[in-house]
Amino acid sequence: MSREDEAPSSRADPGTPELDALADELRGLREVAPPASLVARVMTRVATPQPFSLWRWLRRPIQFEVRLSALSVLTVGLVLTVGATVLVRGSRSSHVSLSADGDKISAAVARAYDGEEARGEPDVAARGDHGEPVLVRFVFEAHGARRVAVAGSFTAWKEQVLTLEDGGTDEPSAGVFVTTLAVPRGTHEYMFVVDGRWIADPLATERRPDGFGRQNSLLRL
Amino acid sequence: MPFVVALKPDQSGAFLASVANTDVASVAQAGGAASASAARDEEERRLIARCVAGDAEAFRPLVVSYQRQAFAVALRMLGSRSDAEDVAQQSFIDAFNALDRFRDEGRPRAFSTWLLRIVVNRSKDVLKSKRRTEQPLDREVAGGDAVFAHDPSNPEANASGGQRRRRLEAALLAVPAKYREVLVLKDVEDLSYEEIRTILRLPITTLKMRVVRARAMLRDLLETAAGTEGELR
Repeated sequence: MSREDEAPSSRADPGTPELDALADELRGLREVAPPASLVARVMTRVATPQPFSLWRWLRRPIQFEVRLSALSVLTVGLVLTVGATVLVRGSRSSHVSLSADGDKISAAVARAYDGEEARGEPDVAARGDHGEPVLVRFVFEAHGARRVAVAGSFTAWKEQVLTLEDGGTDEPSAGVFVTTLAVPRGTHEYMFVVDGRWIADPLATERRPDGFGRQNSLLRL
Repeated sequence: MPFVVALKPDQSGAFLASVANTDVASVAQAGGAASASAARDEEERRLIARCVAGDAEAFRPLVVSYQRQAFAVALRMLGSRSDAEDVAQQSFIDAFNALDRFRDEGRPRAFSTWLLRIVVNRSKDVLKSKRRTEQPLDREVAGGDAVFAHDPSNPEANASGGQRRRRLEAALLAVPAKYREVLVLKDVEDLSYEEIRTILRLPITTLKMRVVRARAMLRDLLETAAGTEGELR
């Protein structure tokens, strides 16, 4: 509460005849004779054209008057909402297009699998900004396999099941299992799990011993 | 216990009260005053338009009309005739130079309230500069000593005589500036709260409270001054 909002002291009893009389008395101070030369001096000054000053011209305030009706405010609000929606959707569709690029890459690097030999590789489908997880598409070809999963340090070694991709309407399934995971940047170890068997990624460029006599595949992001 | 503020009605309130009395003569009188006010505003609009169009001489009637008010407000704020003259003159020149940006928006007394806003702001600037260069400024010190310390040497006051009037002038100058300005505009110049709100850009509630406090301050200062004077005798 400001000081003005506070109640005046008990002595200041507002509206009393005493204070009203004081106000009337103040009104008596109203009659003041201005200097006789005031009008002449003002008129002399305003009649004298001022020399052009670029500085004054640059500093002159420019007023803009904006008048909005309720309808125009609603219209502006609607346009802003639509614009914001389009922007949000645009950013989402760019995200999707990156994933679509990833599909092409993974299709290009897919390898045949002859039952005994498993082949697969993680495919960096889309890289986010620094500090964001990177979308990685894991592809594994395993004809005849019923279940393929991937497990690694980025999943706390919990299995993430890959989906069997449809090979096309006229072709039998190519046995390509895929999944896309968001993996934090860094170096990760991982394995594929094909029908219960742990298999290192045959297409991984780097491997690291897992401490139990086998090799984990290495993924650097 | 609730604190009830009983204030004198402002000008518009007084007008409404007179209409409520259903006195035909007073209603006609009020209506005549309103139409005269509207005519004055319209005339001022015409003069301002001529000024903006380049006819500086059209500014003369405006200066003549408001020279007393501009000078009086500056004088009551500053307590010095020479300072008040400078402030009034410069305020008119400022107003003239800014007439092309003046928007009355159909408000009654738009020009005079706009001019008084310039006068009050210029007066405050002078007070600030004096406060910086003349510390301590006696007029800004509350208390009876300050009342006696200040001698306005105002010819009008001296001519009219009256110890009470001189004491009142001195006490008014001892009221802090933010309270003094509302007293000058409300009680001395008899402006409505709506006009003062336009000039000072303060909520009407704040203005009313400031007026109450300012009157109480003034009363206290006058009592202190009277008491001190009695002791000296």
